[in-house]
Amino acid sequence: MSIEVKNLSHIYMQGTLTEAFALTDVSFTVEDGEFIGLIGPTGSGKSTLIQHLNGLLKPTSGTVLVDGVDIWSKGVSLKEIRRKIGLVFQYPEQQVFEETVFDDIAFGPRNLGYSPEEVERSVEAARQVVGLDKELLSRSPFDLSGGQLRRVAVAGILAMNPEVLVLDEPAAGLDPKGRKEILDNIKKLHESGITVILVSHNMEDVAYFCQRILVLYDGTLIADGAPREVFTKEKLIDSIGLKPPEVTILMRKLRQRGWSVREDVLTVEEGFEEILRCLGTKGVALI
Amino acid sequence: MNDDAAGIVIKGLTHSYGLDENHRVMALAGVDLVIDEGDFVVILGPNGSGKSTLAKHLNVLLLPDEGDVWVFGMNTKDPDFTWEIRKNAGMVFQNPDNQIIATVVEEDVAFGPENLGVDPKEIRERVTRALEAVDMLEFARHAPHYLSGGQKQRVAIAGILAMEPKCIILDEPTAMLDPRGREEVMQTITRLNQDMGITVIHITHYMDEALYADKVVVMNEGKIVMQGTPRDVFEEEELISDLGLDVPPIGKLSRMLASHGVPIDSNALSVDELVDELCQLK
Repeated sequence: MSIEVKNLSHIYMQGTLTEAFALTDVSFTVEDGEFIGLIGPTGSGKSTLIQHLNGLLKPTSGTVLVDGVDIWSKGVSLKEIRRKIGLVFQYPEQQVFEETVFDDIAFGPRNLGYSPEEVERSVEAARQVVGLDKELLSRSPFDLSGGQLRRVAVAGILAMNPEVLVLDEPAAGLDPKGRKEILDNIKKLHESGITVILVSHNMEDVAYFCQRILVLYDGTLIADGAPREVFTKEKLIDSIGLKPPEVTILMRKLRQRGWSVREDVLTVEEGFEEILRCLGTKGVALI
Repeated sequence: MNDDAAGIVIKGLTHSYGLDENHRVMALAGVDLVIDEGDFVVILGPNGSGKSTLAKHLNVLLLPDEGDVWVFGMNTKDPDFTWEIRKNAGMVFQNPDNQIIATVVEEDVAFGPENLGVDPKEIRERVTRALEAVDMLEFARHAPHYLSGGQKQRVAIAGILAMEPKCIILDEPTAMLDPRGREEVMQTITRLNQDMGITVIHITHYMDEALYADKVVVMNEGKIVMQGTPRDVFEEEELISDLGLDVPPIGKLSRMLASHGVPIDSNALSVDELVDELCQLK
């Protein structure tokens, strides 16, 4: 399924004294099967933007087309759009409300009219993807740790079998292992055909997992490209207060000191290869 | 009073949670820890390892099941000390939106000292000093609602500073912030530690933030499993990854290069360290 955002603008409190432009003329297309990173400083409009993708917010002007159809045109079922495009918000503690974890994850599928067996099956599948212990299903969500709650919130959306998954900081507050687990599982989902849009402040994660990055600043889309292209726009990234991955910064500093390393290096493994290559051409002896 | 009146002393601390005897979870299972006054301590550990539970014992939000906690010589079990301890060991939490209560920044910062019954003229001076210390004075009359995440956290820190504490405990204050916000908060608390001598205890899942610390404490399953300088701790790469933690990316890269025969310090952790190491090679 493709999502096309065309000249989208959103104004909060339009016509009042506190009128504020949250998004200004944003356009991009998400193709079926992409893994996109959406980055930008706090207040840049990321949350406002993703809420337009499944019709939680209505554009002040511009359109959002899902498979070519304007989601705000007559006859479109927003309920169906919201099933296909699942949104997981940033604060999981604000998204759980049922008595048990199972019921919480099952809320979506039950609402969609799944049979009890189907509900059971989708809850179980979602539980496995997020790596939640089975014994937690009977517990109250309010007894869980922050990391566990985050998994429950993601599972609740997954249980509805969305075609597009939009996640706002799914790994914030998780330890490195939990973070890697949940992101690896999202990657697996992506490989199984789901389109993923990941909102994150973690540039290492975005560089590693995403094929394409959208950069939002002050409500405007200021960059759209592969991680390598985006993170080597040094001035742009610095000026809006983001930070490329550490290894990219290392390469930048080595270049300043006269090394002829490539600058579009994003991961530890790539950095390792590139430094060895450069040491080889310099003739530095290894021990 | 404890003999060692300096800093924070924790001895044999245990704490369990749960509704009834059959469902008790041991959050802290015998913790011994000494933090000297003026230290910058970072606490690392997987989710559920007891970091937050430990932190809550430092300003009497929780009391030990067993063992003792002395904060600047005061035992947290003594109810006479509760307010004195809270004044001296302030806490900052993860979500800035849950910590700011007033509609104007300076009123929010004044809340603590007002509660302590500080003289109004003195409150004004403290609020100014505190906002200055976190570099937010120009926002004194702003509505907190419109600030960025990093700015809100700095206001929360100023609110603690206005109580003139000897120690600040920060429980994942950077988890929700963008890179600039994170850096603002880290630089702010480093300054408070270095310039004002305030003891800092910082809990985080960002391994690179451990590099700011004098001492890193690693927790697992309610116990302290390692403590030392950032170098000491990240040298134990295997243990760190067994615990579900991670060595910062530059540390990993240094190690890979060194083990491949590149003659550099295998334990360089920051970008600048590794650049210097590599540039020394002939």
